[in-house]
Amino acid sequence: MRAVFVLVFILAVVLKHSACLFIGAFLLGLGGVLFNPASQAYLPHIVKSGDLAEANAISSTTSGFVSVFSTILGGVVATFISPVICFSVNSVSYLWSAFFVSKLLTVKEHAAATRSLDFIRSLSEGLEEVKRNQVARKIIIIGISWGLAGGGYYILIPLIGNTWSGMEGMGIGLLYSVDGLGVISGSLLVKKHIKQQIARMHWFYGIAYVTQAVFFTGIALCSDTWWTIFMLYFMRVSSGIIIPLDSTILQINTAPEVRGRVFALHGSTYGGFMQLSYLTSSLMFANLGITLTGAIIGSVSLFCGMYWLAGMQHRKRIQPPP
Amino acid sequence: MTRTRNLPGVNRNFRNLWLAQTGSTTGDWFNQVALAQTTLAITHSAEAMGFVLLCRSFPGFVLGPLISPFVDHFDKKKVMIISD
Repeated sequence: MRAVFVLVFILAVVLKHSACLFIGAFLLGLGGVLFNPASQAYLPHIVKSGDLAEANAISSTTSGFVSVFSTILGGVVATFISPVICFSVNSVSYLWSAFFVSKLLTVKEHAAATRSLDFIRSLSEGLEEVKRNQVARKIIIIGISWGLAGGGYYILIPLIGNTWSGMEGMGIGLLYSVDGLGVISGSLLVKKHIKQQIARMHWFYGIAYVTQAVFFTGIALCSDTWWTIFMLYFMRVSSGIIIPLDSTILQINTAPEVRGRVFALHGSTYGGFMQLSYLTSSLMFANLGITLTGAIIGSVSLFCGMYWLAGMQHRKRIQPPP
Repeated sequence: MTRTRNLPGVNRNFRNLWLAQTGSTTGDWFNQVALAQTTLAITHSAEAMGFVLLCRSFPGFVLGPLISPFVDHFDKKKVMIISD
């Protein structure tokens, strides 16, 4: 689906019609609704639970590397050749993905999955799991909180990149490549220092939200290009720690038969509030300015970190010593 | 399911999933840069940029929770192929 839908953006370039951008973005979102929950739920079937943090860190590190090269290359291609080539590459990339997914082994599904689908019961089982499972619930709440603010980040980057005179797509590409470098560094930290250590995983997760807040606010406050790049890099190091740990903590703490639904709920609540954030933060950037909006967004990330760390302290207090 | 230091090297399934994700992520970033540039070139507006991103995540917000049972019920491999 996504390989076809992305071609609508080519129409937007050719016709110079903004409606095509909105339609294309909607269709692309529609095509991808189930991909991430399915791949996240599939991973624990093929990787041991002790290797999940490493597997997720490898995925984020690769994603970071790819983002560095692809954004620089994408920026050059979009600026000097045509954005049409970029959209075509994106279409081919989905075909590539489908080819390798087709080579995956079909995993034996849990008995519950082989029953005929009772839609309402199945839906309520997923909600029940989130209500019952404290860790899943906390991660979903943090996802909502960060989603509420984090959309502003994805608007801030093109806004800053576009203001660097004469760079246009290349400025945006450069910032996204710094973004990727940060994510690589953070994911490598997870791969090297966390692995199977559950307690450390939880600490890193909370602290990374706090440092992400500090550096995000830094991006919004500074006007110097090099400071912006510096702050962006360290903000994304924090994100690079959060991204694999978010998936790993949820995978470890969720039963396999409901894992897909929990990931879908997490993705949809996070993504949903993120889209609300696109709307609110774009209006805030336009009306309040980058500095104040950035400080507000940074405060939300700080809340996420403090909420998680406070939860850990609480669990530590109520758990009897071994 | 193999436990080693080089997961993609020895776990064929993980390697295929990793290659699939790497390929589509490459394309996604090409898209991200081109989409931001095209949107700002056509509209010159931060609000439009926000609206494009909003349109992209809207289906996930509305449909995500509703169709989540399908992820656990159907073959995840087929779900991923159809999505792509």
